[in-house]
Amino acid sequence: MLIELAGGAVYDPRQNWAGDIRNLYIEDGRLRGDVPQPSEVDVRYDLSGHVVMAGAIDLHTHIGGGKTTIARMLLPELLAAGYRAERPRGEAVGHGVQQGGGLLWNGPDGFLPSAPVAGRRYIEMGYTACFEPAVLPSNARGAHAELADTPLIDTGGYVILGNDDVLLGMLRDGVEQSLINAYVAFMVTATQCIGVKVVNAGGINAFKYNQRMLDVDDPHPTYGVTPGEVIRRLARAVEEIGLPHPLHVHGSNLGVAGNIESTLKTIRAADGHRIHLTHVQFHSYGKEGPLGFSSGAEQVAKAVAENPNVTIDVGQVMFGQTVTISADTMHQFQGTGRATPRKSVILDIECEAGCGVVPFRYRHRRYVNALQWAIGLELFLMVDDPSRVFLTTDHPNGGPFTTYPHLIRLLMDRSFRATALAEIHSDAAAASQLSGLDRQYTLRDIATMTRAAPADLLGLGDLGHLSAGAVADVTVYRPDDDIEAMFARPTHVFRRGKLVVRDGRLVDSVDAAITHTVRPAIDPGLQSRLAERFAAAGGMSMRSLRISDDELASSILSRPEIHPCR
Amino acid sequence: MLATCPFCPLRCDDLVVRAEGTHLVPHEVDCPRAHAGFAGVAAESARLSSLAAWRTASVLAESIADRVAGAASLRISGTIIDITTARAAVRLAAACGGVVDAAESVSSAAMRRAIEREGVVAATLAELSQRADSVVLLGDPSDECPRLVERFLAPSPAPPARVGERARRRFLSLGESRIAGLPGERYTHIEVARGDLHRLLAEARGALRVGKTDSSGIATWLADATYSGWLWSSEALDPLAAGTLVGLSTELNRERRAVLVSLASDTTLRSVSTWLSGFSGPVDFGSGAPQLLENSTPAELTLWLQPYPTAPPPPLEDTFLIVLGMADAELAERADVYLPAGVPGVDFASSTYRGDAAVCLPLHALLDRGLPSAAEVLGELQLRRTDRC
Repeated sequence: MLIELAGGAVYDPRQNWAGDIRNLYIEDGRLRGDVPQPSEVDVRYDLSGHVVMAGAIDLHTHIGGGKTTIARMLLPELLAAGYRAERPRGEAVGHGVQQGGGLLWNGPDGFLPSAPVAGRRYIEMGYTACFEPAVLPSNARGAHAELADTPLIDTGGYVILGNDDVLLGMLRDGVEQSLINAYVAFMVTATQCIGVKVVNAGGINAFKYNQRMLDVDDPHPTYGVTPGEVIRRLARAVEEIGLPHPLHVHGSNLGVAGNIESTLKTIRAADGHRIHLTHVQFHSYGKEGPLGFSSGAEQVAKAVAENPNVTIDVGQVMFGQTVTISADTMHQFQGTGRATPRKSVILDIECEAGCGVVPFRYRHRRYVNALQWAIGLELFLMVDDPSRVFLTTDHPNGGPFTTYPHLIRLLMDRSFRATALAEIHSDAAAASQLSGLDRQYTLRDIATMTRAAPADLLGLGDLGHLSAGAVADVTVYRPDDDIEAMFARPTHVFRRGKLVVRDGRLVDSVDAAITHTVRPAIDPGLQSRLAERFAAAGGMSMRSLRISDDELASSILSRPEIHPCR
Repeated sequence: MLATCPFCPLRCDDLVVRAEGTHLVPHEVDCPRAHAGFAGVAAESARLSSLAAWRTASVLAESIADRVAGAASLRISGTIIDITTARAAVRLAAACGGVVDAAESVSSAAMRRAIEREGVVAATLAELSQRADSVVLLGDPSDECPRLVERFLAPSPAPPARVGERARRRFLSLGESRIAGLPGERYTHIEVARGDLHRLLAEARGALRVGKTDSSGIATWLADATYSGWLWSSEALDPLAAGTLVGLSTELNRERRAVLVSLASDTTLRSVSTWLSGFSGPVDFGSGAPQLLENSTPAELTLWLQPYPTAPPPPLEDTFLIVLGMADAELAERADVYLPAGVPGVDFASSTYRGDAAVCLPLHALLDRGLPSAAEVLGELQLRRTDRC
């Protein structure tokens, strides 16, 4: 079937289109490059007066893996309350809508939606691909199964390394880089991931030895290596084995006042290798001022400008109840005293990493929370290049992904932002530079930050743009003075060429889950040495770690889509 | 051939099995659960083969479709050990407006409630094995997980993974009998009746908090641990003991490390049900959308998943009982309807969560006996239900 999307104002940074009036043609799930004869067109959508972009991509959202399950186990009363509050009165719920062999139903929504609800909410906002940033190797099967049960969107994951005894042992022993490279390549391939993430390098492991802090240049209490060395060797490995996505770095000292110094040290530790600093808002804190907590956003923005090897996503804080979930048990444990409600789960996992779940409510009248909110917006507005700063709330850590439309309005609407600033804790507003930042994001900036740039950074060659041959993930918006409303309810969302959302509501299903992955080459001569180290470390066997394409497709129920390495 | 053993929460993935005709026998492993599990499967296969040929998933589903569709209330429960079957169970419950409810042990239920109230500091088995200088066992979990001592407890942790200076791991058990296989010189047993466990734990917690000793000596023993790990049997924890244990572990982690390690049999269904419905615990789809069910009650019709003959049978309840999977002769006789299906990890491949909940392992297809899987039958039932709706 040939579909014509006629006359929309198209924003596609890849082709340098910024509101150009264009006709797009979709056939067999892809965009066609040539202009067909009118008689060939089967379905025509008149999009005049509408804004057209590629499907959006979220490169950091915690929607799969055991930590969301743990959070749901911890907070049944909040989830049930959220469901009751958000279910529209009188709406018939039914027993679910058949969706490509699965079911979608309304369920606990808000800050921790179930997998079916998360997929639905994402596609209804025009997102078509989302990436789980914290896949533990021993949990990879479960993570991919949960992602496969998140319908309507493509998914992928980053495998967590850098606190595992295998890697720390290799670094302690001073092995050659080629063995590190083989290890990283094996772990990415075995876990069917597309990237590598390091979380508080060495710190999660050190917490198991009862160490409560570890800065970038502190030696690990047992292995002796520093977080800086872990980051440098991993970032180099990621580059040398050709992963498109740079090392995804959750830095040291998450949430600690004064951690801006750790963030700057992390950038230096990378030694010029490409790194992506994630949820950097949580790592941009000074300790100036009467309360010992201040913004380091300007320093981060300056460092990003000076270091072309660095990209960031923000991890914007949005006010309200949420739950923080992170592999960073060292700092999650520190946060248990501030848990709201007062309960938490801290888990050491399989000599690989950990998981900390701490519920939290961000309050706009609390100084620290209000300044966190302002720091996030400062980062967005101070980093000039929208292809190097990405829109995330680190769902659900800073707030749920469903707040993205509100966040986009904060970026695009200066007066709306000023009104919001006036409502936060006055000392926090005064401590922030936000009132002096006049910049407003344009639609082209949004298309860059949420489409073209994440696709490039992840190596998704045929996503995130509308060129000939691209996957036909297309989102259509009706312009509105209320930008939040515009981005909350696209008029049309096409996923792989099929219309699945109309006027913000799901109207159809898609057939199969897709997992984006890569296949770096593994030096076969080094596998036996790796096997020895696996056996000595006492975690899962190499054999059980490996998820084959066949297992992914037939048992986990997702089709691998393999992207080339660099 | 190498297999992942489906017969206990340890899910040993180093099992070597040998085919003898259409039966499998564990090779060079001294595990009564594995031997009994495979023997039970072989015996039931032989019994069923002598009765009738295998039937397809479609035929099996058709035989109960009207009964399921006509039931005023449906409960899907049992021991569901693989992701494929768990997905199918939740989806059928959603399609029928039924309840899906993992068969959880006394300890699992108590610990789930305690975590919902207070949270927990926990770990997986490899962490316990590699780090812990001290291990506390409540009841005898090795009775249900026979290779626990051999695989995870007996080898003392070695540097650099080991936490603390103690070269050899020591053990403390609290329960009604000593645990076999633990080294005598490093093993202390305190006789405790099940109902008294929470009192001893509470006393230890109080003593630790104020830096004093307790009458049992538990607090003193714990104060000398650098990284302690706690395990329990499926019957050891009542709600009071579970709550006290969670509080005690929190207390211990103020100055040292202490972790609880669950060995539950319901982790796979619990995980899948939680990500699909949003809730952990029994989930009711009766109103269309999933809702957490505070207390699961008998339904008019129970669809019980029995993955292998040695899995725990359903409780005696006033319900129309359909058993799907592989039952022993006694359960087959007791069921109102018995639908034989293949064993996950024997007849078909899938994935499974180990009892400590985070580690997800492959289950391999080892034999092709032509049996349908339980998931296929549940899927066929869902299709028929959808058609009828």
